[in-house]
Amino acid sequence: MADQATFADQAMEYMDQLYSAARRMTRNAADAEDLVQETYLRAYRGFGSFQQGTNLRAWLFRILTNAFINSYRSKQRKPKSVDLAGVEDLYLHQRLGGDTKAALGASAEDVLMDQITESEIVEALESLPEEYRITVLLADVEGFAYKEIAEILDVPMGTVMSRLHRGRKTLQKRLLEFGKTRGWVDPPDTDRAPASAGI
Amino acid sequence: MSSERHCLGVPNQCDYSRELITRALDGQPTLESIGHLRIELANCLPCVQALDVEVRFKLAMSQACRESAPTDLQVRITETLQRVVLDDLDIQDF
Repeated sequence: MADQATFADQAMEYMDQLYSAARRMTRNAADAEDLVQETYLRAYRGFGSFQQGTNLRAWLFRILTNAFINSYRSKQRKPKSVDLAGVEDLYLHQRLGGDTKAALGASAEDVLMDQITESEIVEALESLPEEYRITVLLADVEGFAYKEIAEILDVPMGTVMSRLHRGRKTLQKRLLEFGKTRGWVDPPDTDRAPASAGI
Repeated sequence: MSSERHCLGVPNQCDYSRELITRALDGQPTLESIGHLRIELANCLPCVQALDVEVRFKLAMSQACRESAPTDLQVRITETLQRVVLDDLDIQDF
């Protein structure tokens, strides 16, 4: 059991991480601030049930995610569940391979990743459907292990892996589209879906 | 990994390399863990390239999507928690 008197000392150090995640979840600074404040209040109230020695960061992210899904989002029209099952599998390095790589004389994915701006990466992430966005956020931005994400979201590991795979591929596709739009890359076969499943 | 399993040399058709790359992206990869996986995939250049792209992508995501909480939010939450603590004390006192 945790002592509520020590809550602030232990929990405040995670505010930047929680705020970053809230920004990407809500896509809005004011709503993110409200969500983080609600998260800290809920966490304080529930801190007595937190088991000292377990993962406080994961516990706070679970509260944040639940608060977003159950409280913040309920104020809005519930978004339709979007299935990215049909998303085209691709590898950035395959799509940027061949002639493009040779013409550039360098790793084409390096060219894309060097040129793409942070705001474009954020835009691509925020364009993902909610369930994929949150899963990719927890894995690739916050660095949670797959098992921790399953616990935070209270979903099976298989669901985490599926959402991550599809979310990452969709993100990569969008970044590639940014690159094409700006003329940084001109992959030879971007309009042709590969026949096989990707990683 | 079973010693019978091996890389097919085509990343998107190879369960073995897919597993390794997925494992490499679990949590917060270290240079050491990525280095070990690159050695495991050393006989397959496309697989090593795929691994490198996925790791770079994850790193770019991590760097681009972080931001600090506004100072006034930190102050507001600290004050709110202090007020809640005082309210709790009041309830217990009376």
